[in-house]
Amino acid sequence: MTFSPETPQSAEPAIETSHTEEFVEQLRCVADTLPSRINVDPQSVEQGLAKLVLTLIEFIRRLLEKQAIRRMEGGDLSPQQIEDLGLALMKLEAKLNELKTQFGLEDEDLNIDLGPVGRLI
Amino acid sequence: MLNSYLYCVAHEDPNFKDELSGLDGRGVEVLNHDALFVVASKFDGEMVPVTRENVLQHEAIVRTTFSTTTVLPFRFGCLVTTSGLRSYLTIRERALLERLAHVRDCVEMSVKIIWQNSSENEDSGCVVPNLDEAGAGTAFLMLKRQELLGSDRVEQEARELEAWLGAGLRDIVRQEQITIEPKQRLVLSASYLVERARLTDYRRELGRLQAERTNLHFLSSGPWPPYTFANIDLEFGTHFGVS
Amino acid sequence: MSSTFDQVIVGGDVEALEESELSLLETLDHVLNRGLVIAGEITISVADVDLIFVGLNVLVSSVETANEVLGSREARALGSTASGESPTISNER
Repeated sequence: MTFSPETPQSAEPAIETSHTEEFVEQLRCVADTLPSRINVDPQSVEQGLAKLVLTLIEFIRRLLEKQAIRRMEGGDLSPQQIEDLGLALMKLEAKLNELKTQFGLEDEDLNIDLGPVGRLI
Repeated sequence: MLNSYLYCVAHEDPNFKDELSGLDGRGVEVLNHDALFVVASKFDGEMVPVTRENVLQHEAIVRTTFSTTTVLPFRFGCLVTTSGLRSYLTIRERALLERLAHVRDCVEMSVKIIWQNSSENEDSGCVVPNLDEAGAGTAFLMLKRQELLGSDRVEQEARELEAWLGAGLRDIVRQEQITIEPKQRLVLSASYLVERARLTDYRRELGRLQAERTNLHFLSSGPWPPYTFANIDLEFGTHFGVS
Repeated sequence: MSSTFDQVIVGGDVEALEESELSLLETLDHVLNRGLVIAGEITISVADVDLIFVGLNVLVSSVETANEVLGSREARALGSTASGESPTISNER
């Protein structure tokens, strides 16, 4: 493969916006969610694991919620079934919040970027 | 074992006029392997700290190379052993040359959009059931349903934004990559691979689009070396961290 | 507790002008790959739950991305080259 000569002459990137402050604020949020390298000490490893597990559960919980709503709208559930389903999901949400608090994790900590699917939360 | 810190790949020797200093104050070297040239520097340690200095240094070296020739940039934090690099270059030689041809004569331009998204808590106009009569569980599901409808709408609006931007710029750029995050204020982040010859067209079209939607806040930046369109470091674990 | 970003810029100048802060943030956005692959790998490399998390990524990512990621990983695992030699790519982790 041969390349004919080119002269790139690229300039230093310019950044243009009329809303510097806003973008700084938003981009800072993104930078703040950069994954930290978890150190070997036992405390952090446990938290890292908790974060992973809770993220997975949270992901599934949201899918469950969506599916429940879909079925509710579909009209093939009895009022009692809807009520039971709702109560169960409500308790699941509460329990998960409890666990988050227990491990000192905020919503943002579980807010992993799922690429094309977007962010979890 | 001493690692090499990688900056970028090129198809010809960049022939730096001056000695460049890389991360950790190590000298920047150009390694040659068949038709490929890799800009790298020696690095002590297993992890590259994400600091202002390191980030800017990485960008500066990639950009300096980019001013002399076509490059495929590595993302920040690529560490590799000499043998690892050699194997990689051997296996991937053709793919890398193809990619270099793909980004030839091009720069990366970025657009980010912030919106004032107020539709989340609006009355969606749907029939809200009488929550007093429903049990707690049913009420819970009803509220979640409202939320879901709201977020569906927001997602639709975000996709519409993506389509609108694409419609304007697609014919001008060689490649695009757009990410949308409907729930965030920074709703859209786009990167475009633009031929240098078409930069004027690109800027004019972008200006036109911005004027069309004054309720949106835009940030445009560039030209950048084609970080987004290189994707050459998927095989390397990147070793950066913030502790 | 300072934010992650503060740790990045605090090494230098805390009172950086907003413009140069924006410039750094934009640069950061380009030199770092914000994909889940990176996030997942760093998070789990210590917790040692590798496969499950990567599995989640592949599960929810687009087919294109999954092939890209899987393809490169398979190539590394199989260790085959055009010339038939086995490369010695060491696992950097």
